[in-house]
Amino acid sequence: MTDRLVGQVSGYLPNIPLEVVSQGAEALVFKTKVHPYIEKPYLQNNSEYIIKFRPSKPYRHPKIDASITKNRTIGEVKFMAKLSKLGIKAPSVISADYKNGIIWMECLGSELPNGEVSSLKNWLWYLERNESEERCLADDVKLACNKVGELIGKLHMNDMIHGDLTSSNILLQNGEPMLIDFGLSSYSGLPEDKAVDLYVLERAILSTHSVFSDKYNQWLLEGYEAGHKSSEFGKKGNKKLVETIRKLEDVRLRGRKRSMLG
Amino acid sequence: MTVDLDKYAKPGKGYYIALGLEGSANKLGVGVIKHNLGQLSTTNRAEVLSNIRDTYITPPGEGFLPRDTARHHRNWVVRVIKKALIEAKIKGTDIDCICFTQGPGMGAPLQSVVVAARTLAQLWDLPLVGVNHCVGHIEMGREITGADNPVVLYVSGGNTQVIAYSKQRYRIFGETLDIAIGNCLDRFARTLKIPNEPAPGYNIEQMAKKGKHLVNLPYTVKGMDLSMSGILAHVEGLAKDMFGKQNKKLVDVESGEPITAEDLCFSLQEILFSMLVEITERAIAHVNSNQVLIVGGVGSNERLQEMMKLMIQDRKNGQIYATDERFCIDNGIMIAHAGLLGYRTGQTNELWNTICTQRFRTDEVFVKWRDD
Amino acid sequence: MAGVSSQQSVEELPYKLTLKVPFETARQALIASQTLSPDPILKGNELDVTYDAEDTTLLLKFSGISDRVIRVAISNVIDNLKTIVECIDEFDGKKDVLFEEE
Repeated sequence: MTDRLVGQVSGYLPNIPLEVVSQGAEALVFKTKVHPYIEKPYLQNNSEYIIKFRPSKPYRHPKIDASITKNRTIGEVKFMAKLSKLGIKAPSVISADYKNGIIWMECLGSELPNGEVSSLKNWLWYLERNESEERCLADDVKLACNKVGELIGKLHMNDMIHGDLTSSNILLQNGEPMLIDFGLSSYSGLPEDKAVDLYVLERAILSTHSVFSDKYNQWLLEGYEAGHKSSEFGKKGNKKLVETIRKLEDVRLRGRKRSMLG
Repeated sequence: MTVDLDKYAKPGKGYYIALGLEGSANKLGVGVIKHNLGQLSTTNRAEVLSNIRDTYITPPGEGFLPRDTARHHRNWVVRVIKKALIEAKIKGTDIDCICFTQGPGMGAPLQSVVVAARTLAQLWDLPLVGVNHCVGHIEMGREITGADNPVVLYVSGGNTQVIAYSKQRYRIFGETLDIAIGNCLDRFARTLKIPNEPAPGYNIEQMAKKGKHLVNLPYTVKGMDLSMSGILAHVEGLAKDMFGKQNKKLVDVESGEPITAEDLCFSLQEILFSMLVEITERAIAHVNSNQVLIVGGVGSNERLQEMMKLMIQDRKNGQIYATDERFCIDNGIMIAHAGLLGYRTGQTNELWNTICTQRFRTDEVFVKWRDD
Repeated sequence: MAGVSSQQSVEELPYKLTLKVPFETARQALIASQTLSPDPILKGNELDVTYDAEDTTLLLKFSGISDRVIRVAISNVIDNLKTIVECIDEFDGKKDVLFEEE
């Protein structure tokens, strides 16, 4: 991470001590012990908060840049607010500055033994690098994948599309998954949009966790099905599930056909 | 540990020479490459002995069709092979293997070239090596730039992929969900009736340099994938309004100045390249890398290279690698180089196994020559 | 025609044509035959082509459901043969020749 970017965010947030957590593709993530407006908040973690900052991207035309930063920050905040209303696990929003691309939010997740944050990706990579094959396919991994699938199922049943499902964007806390990173999120009831959401995840698992991707993807889909069959959705769940899975097959096929172009 | 690249070396010979034949789209390319024994490194580089290309060019407003492209390749392939041999100053006896593009690409052009490869291989009793076109681009890019383990953005007429290496495969992290970037640009060039000489994308690039007003176009990134057909439809719609029967005048909202064809090219490039850079950065962040390599014909676009550079500068120890048009645009040398890497790790294709395929995904290739 | 052996389907294809292409050597004829034979025939239920080398002659046998199908197939084979013959003309017996600009 370059000093230029840290300088930029410090300018927007004077006197807030910031600890760098990571540099994602479009945002920098910091931790801070300061809550912007309440002394005793009511969050799961009341000692630390996350500040997510979308810096301006010098490679983009200024007009494109301003519109993307603003739209994604607004979109993410609204999406998170709706998730919290629906009880779908994700960090709670604390405060936001749309124009400068800043969101304060709840600090969730934990640390893995190697000090990395407990995203699904980091956990699976940790297991793959340090443990046996059996461990990588153990019951708790299956359960975590099932739960992630279920969470996405619930998201889709509410006609919400994540837009960037990867194992990096799923955080684990005591084995419970939650979603993060909603900059590309949208709302749609179309099976096509849900299928693309799933396809993006399927491909991300394949490329990121290739050794065990078949199993992981299978478990994710099992969970996704279970999410639709939950009693709260009644018969509608199964109908939507069938539509989305059928569309998913179409989207996969398109992927294969496309490579004919060369 | 590194892979032994000399297990199949000919006794007493200190080097390898490969002939490479490429014809998966409208470029016919033949190249000759030389590797000395031992690992390739900064002190033991692959040597390009010749790299000849002949491009099939169509009139403005027309794309290249498989049949006509195949005819072009058939007409030229033997002459281009001969030219490559002359320039390389080598004889058939110097060659270790004949490499050819096995896919992906257009069926008829691929087939027209493999026929020459098969005939020559039998006449001179040399082994054939089938090469994945995309892997050819990646390996040549790595060799030329010295990037050892980059995230690769592969952008051409038929492909748009973000690729990273892991466990002996080049894995596709992001790609287009519909049309390829080069195809998108070429088709817009046809809409505007921009000449195909020297290349439609190149002419769009030159026009874009003169554009200054940004026209609103959709921005469609989906995770690490992207979609371009909607953007193309949108900008084509604008072009038809402006230059069709309606002859509609569009003006820039801020300056009140008229929107030109140059502005459309500029806006299209800005939006598409922003998306490309964004998905590349997503992949970089996802795999914890800090190197980018751009390959493929669209990779020679200076604006794309500039944007990628601006992106990578904001990442810790970020490095960008790009090649010039000799290696970016489809060529025979990359097929020779990647094929020779395969040959040095024991790959040869029997005649029955030299059928070309239009579908040949990058991640299908087992990258035996790497084990990092 | 899944499940039907090619022998049977050939018999069902009424239009037949045999082409004999002479080469200078038996080896050349063999090379031509082996270069042509790997590629699969599209529409296998409408067309069958066999390639053989008999001494210095390349033997091409076409069977099709119509004369049109055979015409198209012949035209494709001739296209490929042109490349093969040009290769032979330029490169046969010249493995240790250093080519020079003409």
